Amino acid sequence: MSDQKTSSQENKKQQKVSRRSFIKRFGVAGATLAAAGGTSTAVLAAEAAEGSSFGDAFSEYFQSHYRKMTKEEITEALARLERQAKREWEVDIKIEAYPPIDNVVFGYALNISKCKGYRKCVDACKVVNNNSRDPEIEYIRVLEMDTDTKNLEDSNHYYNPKTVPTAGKYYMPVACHHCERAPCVRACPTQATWKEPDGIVVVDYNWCIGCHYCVIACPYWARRYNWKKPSIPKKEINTKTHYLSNRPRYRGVMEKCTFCLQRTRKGQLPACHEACPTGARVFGNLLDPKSEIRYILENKTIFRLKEELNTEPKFWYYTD
Amino acid sequence: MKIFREKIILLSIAILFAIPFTLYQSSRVMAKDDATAIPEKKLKEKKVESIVGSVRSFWKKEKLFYQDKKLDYPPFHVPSRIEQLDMYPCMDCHEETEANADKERVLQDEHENIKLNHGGGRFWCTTCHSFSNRNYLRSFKNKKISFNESYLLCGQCHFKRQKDWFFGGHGKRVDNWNGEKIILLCTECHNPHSPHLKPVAPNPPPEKHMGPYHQKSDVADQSEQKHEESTEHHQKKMVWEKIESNYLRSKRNQ
Amino acid sequence: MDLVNFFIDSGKEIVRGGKTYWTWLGFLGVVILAGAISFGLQTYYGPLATTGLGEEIPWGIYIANFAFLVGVAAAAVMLVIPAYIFHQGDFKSAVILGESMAAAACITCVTFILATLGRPDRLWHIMPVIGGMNLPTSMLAWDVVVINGYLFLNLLIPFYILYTKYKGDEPKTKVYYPFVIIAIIFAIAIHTVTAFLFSSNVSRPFWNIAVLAPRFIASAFTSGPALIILVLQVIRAKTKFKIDDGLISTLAIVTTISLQINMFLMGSEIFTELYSLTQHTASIQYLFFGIEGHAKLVPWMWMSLAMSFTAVIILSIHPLREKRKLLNIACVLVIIAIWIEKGMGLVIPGFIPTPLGDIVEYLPTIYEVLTMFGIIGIGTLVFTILVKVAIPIELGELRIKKD
Repeated sequence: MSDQKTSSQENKKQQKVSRRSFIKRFGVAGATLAAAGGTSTAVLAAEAAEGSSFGDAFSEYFQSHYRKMTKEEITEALARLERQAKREWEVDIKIEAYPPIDNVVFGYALNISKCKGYRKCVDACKVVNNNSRDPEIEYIRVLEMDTDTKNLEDSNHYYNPKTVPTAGKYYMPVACHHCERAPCVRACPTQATWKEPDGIVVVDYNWCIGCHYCVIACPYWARRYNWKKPSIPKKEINTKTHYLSNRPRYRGVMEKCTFCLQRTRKGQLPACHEACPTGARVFGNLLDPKSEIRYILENKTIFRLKEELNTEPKFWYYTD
Repeated sequence: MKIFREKIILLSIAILFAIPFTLYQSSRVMAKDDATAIPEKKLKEKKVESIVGSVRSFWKKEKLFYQDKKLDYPPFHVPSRIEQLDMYPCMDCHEETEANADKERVLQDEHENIKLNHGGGRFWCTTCHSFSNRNYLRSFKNKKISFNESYLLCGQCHFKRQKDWFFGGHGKRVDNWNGEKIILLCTECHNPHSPHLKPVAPNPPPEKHMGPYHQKSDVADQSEQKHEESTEHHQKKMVWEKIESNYLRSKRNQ
Repeated sequence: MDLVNFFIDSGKEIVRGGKTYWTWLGFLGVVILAGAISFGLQTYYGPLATTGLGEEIPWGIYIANFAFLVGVAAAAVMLVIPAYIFHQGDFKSAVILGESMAAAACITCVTFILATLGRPDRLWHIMPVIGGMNLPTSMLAWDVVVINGYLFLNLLIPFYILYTKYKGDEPKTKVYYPFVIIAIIFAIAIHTVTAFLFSSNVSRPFWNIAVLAPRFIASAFTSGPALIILVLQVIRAKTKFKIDDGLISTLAIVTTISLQINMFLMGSEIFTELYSLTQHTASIQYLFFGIEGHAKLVPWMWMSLAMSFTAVIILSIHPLREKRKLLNIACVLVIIAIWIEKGMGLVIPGFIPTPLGDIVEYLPTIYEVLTMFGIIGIGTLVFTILVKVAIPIELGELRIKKD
């Protein structure tokens, strides 16, 4: 009996020991994992919700997809985003969501006989669209090509001579071509990027999960990613923004050229168009038979990049 | 007598139709500064043209500028050039200066900063500037062209460019893509005395994100290296050079 | 409640072990901690400063490991098919281990994807009804569906078998057999969908090849069984679990044949691309020879080829394959070779050159390597825990205490 008692006591002790060690070990391991995982999530969440009240952060987290929101929800969301932007950037930013104009599909043409490689379009785009300066995000990449080739692999992205144009080269700026059969739209797993009725392919920055699959799918290397929280000098923040284009963005989301839809949906010209000193860029409505872009498509020698991929881009290159 | 009467009747009818036509054209010459009224006038012209079918060919000689009937360019506005000219009106000085005919000479007293580099030596000031009224430019036929309509002058030689400019294939539209079309005049970009665009320093190249293994200086080295490489590449890749070396090699092997 | 007892007893089983076991867990804990800290630092300082990733190279070593481990997960089916379809008895004993490995590999894959997402807090956006899952066209959405489905199946089937055995009953074949068939289909599906994830992109001519899916399956069935061979030998040495020699020989044959097929497919791809030397083959030129002075992956690829050749020679020659030591060496060579060829050697050259012709190289930084080991450590920990519970139940030691 006493043996049984001692053995059962020993058993109980063992159980106690094992339970204690169980709690100890699992507690330590679990705490470490929780701490590490929690730190990362906390950092991200804190950055995402930086400066916003809990209510705002809560509604931001549960915000629906832009295309599924009703008008009232969108208005509420815009007001909340403006509040958050004010807290984060300390500037009064106006975020609007005006719809596309009827009977308009945008097209863009660029005269490669005229482009001299100044890169004025690149910098104007950066300023108007509130792009991050550090790390530097530039939607437009100007390629310097030899005049005897169309091979993009022989292009030079980092040309920096004393003056441009260099003899024997031509210049081809490349940004998002807003393809009719966009591979990025098909690739996005959450439908965070889609083609609007006026032809512009847009990104909902509050829906994107930052998986980079659209970067991989794009044949024109047009998508950009916010590796860090964007940094914009306060004085240069453009306060007239649109939900789908140039409002200040967050860390961890994708972005790209939007044909300056905050300007073009009001009838203005994109920033790159306005900045080009040589008049190489032509923008307009493809559905209007009298537009400049239609004249170019009907009368000039035009080509599109990587046409064999059947992405149907809406950005043409032409020569004089 | 009958034949003679018929001739007089025909002649008077012709004169009756010709007078309003001539008056209309001359009124157009006087209203040169108004650059925006083209479409209405074009419509009127069309109407007039369609009525006076055979007479039109006779008056075509008097027509000021080449106008292709097929050109149906959309109406446009240009920002005023005259307001940018600080010495306008030119006749303030030239009213009193001596007319120096078409003799080519060095400009000493005034306008000495203008170097004429247009036309390869075939042009002189009065090729484009009206000799009698310096407030205007002149056409080949010595008709006056306002500074605000300089495209009509440039288009005499550069007519292909002018057609593109009318329709949007050349030049720059500003302010909007729908609504009132405002395009820049030729002289906004091209200096008419020295039209060739000078090379300009480019804006800086993009940053290269190469991760923490690389220094930022790599980008500068890279760009110059790539530039040299690309020029070497360019030289190496000259198509005929490679074909020439293939040809020479095969000849040696024969 | 039997279920509660099952979990309590499993918990007790997990924390019961000798010195080796706790040393192993401690080692894993250190590795995981190092990985967690380096991932935290990576998140804090931003990926640009701490990793080799960039605009030109959006996916790096995490997705390389993901591609490799999806193959390992799919290859667990290698044990399932002979056991349940061909009813080879000696396989049945090891099926639980294979499925545990599949589950652990799936969890590792999911963790690797979470590590590379920009906004993992928005993961609900990818759900079907509440989020916006882009099902017909997005290969990544399909991948989420099949990997989670496979993970669920690989936790469900062993759970059912172990739970019934724990209660002392016999698991009913009629009940779990349909799920096994579905799991086999899912196993092929996860690897094919992962291959389609890469091969559906016309913008990357290096991946946009039809032979990518067969290559993935072939290399999965090479590296998976090789890993299983090594793990089974460790389990046989460290626990009382009986593993038949015939099982290991059959797995070795599977590895051999798959390796031969994989080398043939790889060879045909290399020939097709290097014969013509068009502009579209710049990526494979970068892999094997380097372009314009950029050649960071060249020594690795040649090493991987050499390892594959050595392994295939050892494995193809029957007497050599029978020697355990040589077999183990060949398995290690195979795993490393396939990891290089399918991981770094597949994912990175797809980005070099970029679609616009720019060349930016990539090498993982110490942060990425530590995080990678940390996440693999998490997978190994999960596998250890699952196996620690499974083996006593299979051996009959762990049974529900009937009062």
